[in-house]
Amino acid sequence: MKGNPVLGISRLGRTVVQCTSVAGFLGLWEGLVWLGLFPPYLLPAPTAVATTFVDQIGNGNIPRLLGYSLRHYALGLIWGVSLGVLLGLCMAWSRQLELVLDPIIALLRPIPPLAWIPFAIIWFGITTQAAAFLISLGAFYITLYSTYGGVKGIDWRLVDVARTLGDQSNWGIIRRIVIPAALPAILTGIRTSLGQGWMTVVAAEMFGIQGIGLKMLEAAGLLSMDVVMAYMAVIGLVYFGIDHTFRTVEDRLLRWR
Amino acid sequence: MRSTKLEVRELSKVFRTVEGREILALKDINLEVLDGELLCILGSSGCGKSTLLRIVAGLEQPSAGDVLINGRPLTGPGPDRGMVFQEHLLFPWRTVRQNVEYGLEVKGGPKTARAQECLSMVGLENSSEQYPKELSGGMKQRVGIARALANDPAILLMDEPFASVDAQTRSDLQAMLLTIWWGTRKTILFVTHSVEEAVYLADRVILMGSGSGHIIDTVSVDLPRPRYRVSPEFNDVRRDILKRLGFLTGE
Ligand SMILES: Nc1ncnc2c1ncn2[C@@H]1O[C@H](COP(=O)(O)OP(=O)(O)OP(=O)(O)O)[C@@H](O)[C@H]1O
Ligand SMILES: [Mg+2]
Repeated sequence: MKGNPVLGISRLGRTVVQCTSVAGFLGLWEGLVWLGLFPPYLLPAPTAVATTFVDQIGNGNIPRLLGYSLRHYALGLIWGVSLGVLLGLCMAWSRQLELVLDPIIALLRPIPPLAWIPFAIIWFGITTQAAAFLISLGAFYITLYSTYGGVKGIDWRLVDVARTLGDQSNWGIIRRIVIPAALPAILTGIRTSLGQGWMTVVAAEMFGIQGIGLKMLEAAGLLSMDVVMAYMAVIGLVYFGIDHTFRTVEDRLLRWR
Repeated sequence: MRSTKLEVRELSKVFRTVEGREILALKDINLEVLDGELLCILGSSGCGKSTLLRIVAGLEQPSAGDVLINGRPLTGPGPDRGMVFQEHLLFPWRTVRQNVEYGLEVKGGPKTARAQECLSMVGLENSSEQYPKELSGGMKQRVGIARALANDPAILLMDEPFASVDAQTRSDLQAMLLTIWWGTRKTILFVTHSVEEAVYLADRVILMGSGSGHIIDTVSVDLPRPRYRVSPEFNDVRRDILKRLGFLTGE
């Protein structure tokens, strides 16, 4: 077995340490609750959370509420990312557009997405659209700037090469050179949006839109902290899955690097 | 009599720097290149070789003068002129085959067979699915040549394509280029700063003055091919060129 030259620990050894560490943490936590140091409404035991988690899957709450949340998330990301990439490309391509749009975006961007909640509710009501709107804002700014930066930073000599090969139209150059060359930056922007958007989903739903966020708020009102924590676990696990999947896709798309 | 393929008339190019200073990169260039001729442009760094090639490629506008191809004025870049760049400039996100297919893709229509044919010309038929990052410097230049050949351009513009590879690879690439030139009868403008390379390859060598951006002399190389770099005749031409460039004044 090959050891890690830096840590002096093998891969298997490291996995063992990691598992032990997590098990120890959960065990300590369980022990503290079991000794009665914390009442369950302040800190539920891991075993209680696990039981609730299974119950919430069994009674259909987790699949149903997760379905709502994922719908808000997906809609918001699709709008935010597509508009962000599109406008980022246009701004980096056209100097005029850059001059006109840059100050407006610089003005609006410092306002965090959640500060738009009152307007989201007046404009869209307590609806899927309202949640999607809030999520799309964050995704929009992030992908806009990453795309813009990515396009500005590409090796423009490659455009010369394309032109000598007969590629004359702007659209041909954008499609065959600019987008693939800026793809690493665009994908980084999308990945950052995935994280920021998932946070926004939970926060936005706490204002009354059906989904995981609202469920957590309701459960907290009843002091069912085991339910709250079961949904926190859902949030963490789902994001872990999303991020992992996206990284796999990203590695595949950028295997030329 | 062979016809004139490319004509450059009274060509000048002035660059304006960011601070507003003017740089005269090319001055009163006159040039006539015959159909199927292999012309080398020889000069030291900064004398305007790349600029001349970029103007012929249509990537740069001349400040004064004309470039005529088959007697018609140049309007911009086009698939009738292929260019091989000083820094290979392959598209890193495309495989070797996809790099070569680029021009064919733009034109539309079938591409795989032609790409494969061009890769065979440069001896890379077995590396078609590799990415540029996986290639050596010499292989990258071969791909660059195959990519320029794919459109079957009448004129091939080559900007110091072999300047950054080792001596052995360079002489392999030179031999390969001559084989391709022989097989396709293309007109080639080949920029170099190596006297030896120019004498080995060229029908005719254009000498550009260092830093002045103009042509100081033209030398025809009438040696039969294949040429031997160590033969006395080869060395005579080499010495002649060095003398005209202002070296060897003591002899
Ligand atoms: N885009 C540009 N803007 C300003 N000056 C330029 C530009 N391109 C080239 N020049 C200047 O024009 C002159 C000729 O440059 P060019 O690249 O044609 O030289 P070269 O003969 O190809 O040199 P090398 O052998 O180093 O490649 C140089 O002085 C260079 O600084
Ligand atoms: Mg140059």
